[in-house]
Amino acid sequence: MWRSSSAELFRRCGLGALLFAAIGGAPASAEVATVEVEGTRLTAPVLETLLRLQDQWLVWNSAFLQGDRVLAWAGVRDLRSTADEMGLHRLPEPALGMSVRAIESARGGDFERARWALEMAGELDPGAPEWSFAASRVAWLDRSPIEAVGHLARGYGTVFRRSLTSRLWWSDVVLWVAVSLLVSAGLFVALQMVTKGPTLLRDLLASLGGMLPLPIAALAAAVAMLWPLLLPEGWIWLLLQWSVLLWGYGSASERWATVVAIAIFCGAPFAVVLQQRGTEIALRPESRLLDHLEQGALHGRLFHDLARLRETLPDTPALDQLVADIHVSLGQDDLARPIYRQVVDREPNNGAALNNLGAFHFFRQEYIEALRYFRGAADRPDSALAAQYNLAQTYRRLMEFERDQPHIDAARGLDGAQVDRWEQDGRDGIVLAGGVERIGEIRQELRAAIGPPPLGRRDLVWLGLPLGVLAVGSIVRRVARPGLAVPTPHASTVRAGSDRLLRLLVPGLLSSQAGDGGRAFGAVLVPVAALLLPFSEVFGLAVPWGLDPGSWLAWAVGLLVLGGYLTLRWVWR
Amino acid sequence: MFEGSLEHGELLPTLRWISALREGGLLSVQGEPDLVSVTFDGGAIVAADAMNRPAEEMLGEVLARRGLLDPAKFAAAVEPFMGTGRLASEVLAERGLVKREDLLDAVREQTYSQVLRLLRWDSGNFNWTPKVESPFEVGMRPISVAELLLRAGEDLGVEGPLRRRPAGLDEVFQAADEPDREVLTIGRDAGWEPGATQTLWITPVEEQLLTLLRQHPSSGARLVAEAGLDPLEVRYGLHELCCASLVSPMEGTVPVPVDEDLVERPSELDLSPTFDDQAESAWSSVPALEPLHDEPEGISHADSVVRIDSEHLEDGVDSFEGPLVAAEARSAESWSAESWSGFSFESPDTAEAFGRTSRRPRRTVTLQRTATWLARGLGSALSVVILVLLVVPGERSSLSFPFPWQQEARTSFQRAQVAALYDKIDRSVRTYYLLYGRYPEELGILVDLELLRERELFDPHNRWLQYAALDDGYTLRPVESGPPGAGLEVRAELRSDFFLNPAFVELPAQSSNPVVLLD
Repeated sequence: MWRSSSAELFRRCGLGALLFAAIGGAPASAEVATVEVEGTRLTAPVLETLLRLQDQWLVWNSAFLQGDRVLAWAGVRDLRSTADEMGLHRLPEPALGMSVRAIESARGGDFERARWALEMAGELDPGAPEWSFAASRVAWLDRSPIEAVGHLARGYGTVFRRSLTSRLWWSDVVLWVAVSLLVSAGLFVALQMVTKGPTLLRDLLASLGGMLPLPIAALAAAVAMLWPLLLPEGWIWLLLQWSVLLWGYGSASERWATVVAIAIFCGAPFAVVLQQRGTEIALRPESRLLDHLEQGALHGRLFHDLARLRETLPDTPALDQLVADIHVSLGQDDLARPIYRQVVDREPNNGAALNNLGAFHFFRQEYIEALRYFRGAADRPDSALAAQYNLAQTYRRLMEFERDQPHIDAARGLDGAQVDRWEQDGRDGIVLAGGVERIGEIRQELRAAIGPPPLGRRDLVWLGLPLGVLAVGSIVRRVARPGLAVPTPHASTVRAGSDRLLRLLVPGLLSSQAGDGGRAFGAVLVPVAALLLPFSEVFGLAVPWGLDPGSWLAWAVGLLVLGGYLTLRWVWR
Repeated sequence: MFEGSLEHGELLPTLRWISALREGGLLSVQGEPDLVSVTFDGGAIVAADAMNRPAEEMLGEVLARRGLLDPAKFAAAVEPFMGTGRLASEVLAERGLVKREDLLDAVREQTYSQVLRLLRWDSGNFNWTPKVESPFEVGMRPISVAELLLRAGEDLGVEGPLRRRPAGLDEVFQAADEPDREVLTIGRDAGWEPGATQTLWITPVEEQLLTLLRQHPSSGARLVAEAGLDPLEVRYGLHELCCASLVSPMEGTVPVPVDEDLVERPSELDLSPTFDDQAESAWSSVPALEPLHDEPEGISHADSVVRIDSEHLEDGVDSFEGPLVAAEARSAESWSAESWSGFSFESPDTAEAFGRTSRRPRRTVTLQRTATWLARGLGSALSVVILVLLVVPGERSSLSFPFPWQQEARTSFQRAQVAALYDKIDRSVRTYYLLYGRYPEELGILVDLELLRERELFDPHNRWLQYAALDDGYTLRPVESGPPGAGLEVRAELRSDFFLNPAFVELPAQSSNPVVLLD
């Protein structure tokens, strides 16, 4: 059996887009003993490696509890080394455990132990947001608030490096914006009703008054205004109806603000739906596996999630190639080879698979077979560099030194620096991680298999609805209030001044009375958005951080914005 | 901010109050034909606009009337900027179509004309919002309330705001005996209200004039010089004092010629002490007013324009504007006065005492007030509905997915919410297991470890999540009250996690082939 001596399948090299592994070692035996775990066949060495990981974690945990820093560092090094053997260089779960231990120590006043635990956690999962949150907490407990805020900001800054957290975080941001806009637009319409509604209702009462006594007319008017509440989700229809009816009673800027409000009523839910599409998929184990593989992270449910993914996508060459890559990274090349063959049978132009099959024969010293595959891979742009290099190495093994030079020159022509690095490292038989490169493709397959259906005609109602509402509003305005026009307040001549208490208590009321729609809407939007900020996760999705950063930052920002806004309103005249 | 009604004659006292206190703000007057907004700065009028007759339209008319700009040119210049927020005067000045001074005069004239319109109205409501932001042409000379009312008196005569012809500056006045009611000064004494009947409210200017006249009789012109006041303020102040019977012209005295040096007159306002012929004839048709103490009990001079008389309904119909309002007026004819009797707010009818009639039906007042309260109620109700949607956990998702056809998306979102929450809980439980080698006894421990938040012990519907640790995993199920709902339970197992499950790694059995050692 042959196995990788220093498998780095999922480590990114200088080319960025390509992942390489150098495979070496002794030729493999024909048959290997395997055990099927969660649908994946694992060889005894791999099982031993997994067992070692458990033991190494226990060593670290005991060393930490004993306060033995040296032993703990040895445990970390062993964990790293074992993970590297499996071709994955991050261990997020032990790193999270170390972070929790660090906070425990900090809460117990042992900041020194907390800091080395944090340092070790950073070794196992560098740049993880959970590490930053833990560091922030420890700094806070150590009475270093500036450092704490810095770590917290850094933690939030890493959100976008992770597919799941960035998706959920964005989802919450979109929801927060949408709900803030919707609530503000709703309150703006309520303000319009308070300030402009009397004229509207007066017209309505006057129309009804010809037939009915005033109390009955008032009741009828109230019913006419509130009937949409009887519909399912009546409040949105109520807002749309009121927007239409009030359209003709406002100033030009208020009509513009109403246009914006209507666009929000119809557009914000559409934006939310677009953002939410695929969120459920992102939370599934299949996506979790892909996220971890992209990050080069080894997680405890790797094989479980892989089994789920294979169940979901049973007949996908891209996934087969990824599974073969995983076998290579685990050192199970014998298990990888038949899968690569299947991939090549279905995708004869798959350069990475051809190259890897060539590498497999290369290490078995079957050079003629290896040359055949390498030549096939050398014609494909995605595998040309590795294949040309491998061709040169194969000819060298065959002692055909005059034939290796053109290939090494061709490889240098593609990326001389990379070839130099390989030669310096004494690498031969370069293996490509073509399956990992196809994770995006696998995600698409996943969406096609279990994702939401594409947007249909019914969904396009959202786009037509605002236009319809505006058209009705314009007609109502023309019919009911011909010649109605109120000039827009002019910014350069607006005199500062305010009824301070009213400005504070009911933002937007005075602007609405003065017919300044933009200001009225803005006056409502700012406090609403600030107040809803700390509740963004209540409306949205809980971001599954390993370690919760809390919501105090959102509270602080929200209250700061609200306080600043109210202060400005108080002092500004 | 306060509100008042034209029927109750509360507008003029309010104007005097604004002027006396040098207030700034926005006066919105809603009458039958229109809604007019009047902007005050330092107690004087600086802008006026109306819904049905926008300032641009009236400015064009004024410029055309003055021969300064052809209507077609005006329209061509201004129309492209309509609705952009730019003032017409600004556009015209920029294009050099009209001189800046002429424009300012025209804007002033337009402002006066707008306010003049509302002074004709007998019915409607107004509200005063102090210190509110509103636009005005900065270069325009403000129109004082005194100037407005005196000029309106001249222009409108019997239809105007003054109940009698104002005295001229050449007449000689003397203070009357002590009044039978308490005299208070606006701005200095507390408790002013527009419809006050038990007290007489005068402005600081009037107080100053009264003080001087109590010292010795004097002509208006001399008072201008002695008090150093604006002649218009003096003339209007004397008029109000006369109406309140606090001063009176001295009968038999020869009018004192106005000393031109003592009086500085505004350039465009006719300050002649007598009215022109037209105004004179208009005033002559007004019955002479009785002194205030002969007015019906409980009625002050402020209650000057109130007349609610359904007999005059048809008179009012003629003055209505716009199809909708006309429709309202037409339908008003069929209303019966009895049907509105339960909604009457009007004060004692005093119009007859002043020989004035109103074209305003009582029900219109009621209508306006009902509409106002109804609108406020509806606006508040909507705010409450939005608040409920925000606060009630089960309703929150309807804010994000409000349309009925979004049910599927909403369900999907709620599933995602639950999945995200359970994912987070699962991650926390696994971390706990990794550290302690066992499941937590309860989820609260995970909150203590800062792995979860307190509110994450509840699902998105605010149901408490019941957690139970098992030998090989744990269960979670939302509990509202009573037994947990069937089908909601979620079971998680840790055996598939090679970090947590020692039994995960079972090495394959050794080969059964015996090892043969050969000698």
